[in-house]
Amino acid sequence: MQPLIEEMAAYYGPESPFRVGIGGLVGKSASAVLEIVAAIAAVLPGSTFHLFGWKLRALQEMPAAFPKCIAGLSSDSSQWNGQRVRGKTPGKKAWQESGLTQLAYAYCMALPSYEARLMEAWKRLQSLPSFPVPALDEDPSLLERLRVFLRMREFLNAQFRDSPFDLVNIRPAEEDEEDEEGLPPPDITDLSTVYEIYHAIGPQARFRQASDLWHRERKSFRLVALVRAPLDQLFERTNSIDSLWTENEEVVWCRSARLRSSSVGDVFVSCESGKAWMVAHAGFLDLSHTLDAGAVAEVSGVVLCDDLSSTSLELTEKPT
Amino acid sequence: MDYSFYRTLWRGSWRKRLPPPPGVYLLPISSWYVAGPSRYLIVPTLPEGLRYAVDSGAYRYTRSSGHYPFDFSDYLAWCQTLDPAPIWVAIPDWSGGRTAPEPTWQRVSSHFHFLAALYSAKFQRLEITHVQQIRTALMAYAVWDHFHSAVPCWVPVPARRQNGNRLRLAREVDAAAH
Repeated sequence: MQPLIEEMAAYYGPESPFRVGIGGLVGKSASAVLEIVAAIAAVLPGSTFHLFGWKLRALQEMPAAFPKCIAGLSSDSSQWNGQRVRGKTPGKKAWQESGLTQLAYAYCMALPSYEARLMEAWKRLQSLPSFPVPALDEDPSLLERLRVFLRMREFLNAQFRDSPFDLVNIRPAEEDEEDEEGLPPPDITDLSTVYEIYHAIGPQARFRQASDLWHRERKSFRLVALVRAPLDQLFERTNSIDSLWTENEEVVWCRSARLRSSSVGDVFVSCESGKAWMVAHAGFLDLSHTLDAGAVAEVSGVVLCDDLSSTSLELTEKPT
Repeated sequence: MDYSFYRTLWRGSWRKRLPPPPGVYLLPISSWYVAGPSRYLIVPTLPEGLRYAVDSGAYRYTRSSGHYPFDFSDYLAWCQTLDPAPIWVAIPDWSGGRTAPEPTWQRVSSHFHFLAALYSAKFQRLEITHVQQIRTALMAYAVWDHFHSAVPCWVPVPARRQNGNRLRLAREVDAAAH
């Protein structure tokens, strides 16, 4: 994420509130937090960091100051507020004796006290020697991963330009009440018979054998589903015959439960090989000579290789 | 080195009649999300001039279920409804303390999760923290590329749960610089 973070920092400028968040620090020891922040600072020197959930106790126990290459730090905590005066904590008696409501006590008494201790601990930290920034080993395989990732970014930008919310859909399907029965779970480590289903959209593509459009105007096609079935069965599996085809057990993922049936002009892309076929009036048109294959194939790196004919997607065995 | 403290402003510490004292705050969306059959997000009436940032609730959600109960569009809409606007908004990430591995056999519920899982599979990075790394990076790039100006300032959260993973992440971004 370094290229992205540098791009964002340059865009917002040094006077902006821009910073880099560091999460998952809850429950970490002071030494662990120091190591984590130093490791990230080694890659992003000059950055301001926000430490999510970094508490007073951790600050008080820090064995060394943060590396000097860090421009600034911020943190947050809920420890300052009314939670502290509940139950049998020492603050409860002070709150009760104050005559204030619990929240008023938190704002007027607990908060200033907490922040004073926080600043005192921060002042102590500044008097300690700085933690060294770790040296980072290089791993040649990392460049390949990054290259594929950035290529994926480029492709997804084009694919989801008109529907970006479809890309960042993060809520799991099990949260949808109407989808309780759902589909059998797919095995994501086996793509041998999984195909991307692209529906042709727009008058120039729909119901036409417009194979040239696949090459020069990809926005005329929309990825609507992933289906696990042999190529010769795909057309049948993506047509609603007795029921909606999206309910077929072969459907791994679909953009919507209500999709039209596949028809002439739609495109099927093999997730394994990246090869593409367009539904024709009779059979399929082979579009596989293109290097510009589908989204999943793109992610898998198949189309990133120079020689399509000699590449295949290498997947790991299902972990135990 | 400057240091600033953000006071977490959770739902229980919010009363219209007792506005928070001046300072900078952090609103975790998780505190303002109401679960149950009629899921919804509470939009607090914030005092004029309040300075605050927004947290996506990554730790809260990825620690328990591994998933956000709302979609990015909900998160963004909530952030955009808040008045005054937040000074910065955290990009949703996956950095919770969940240690159980992702089940290999699981429903692919969105294109986003499918892509992250596929990328992890290709590079044999199937541990939960690996998948979380990919999700986090994919989300950060997607948000920046498509929702660049939707909020005053996006804040990426690239960290991961384990120290080793953070070091690996740091090495990865370091490799990009060479």
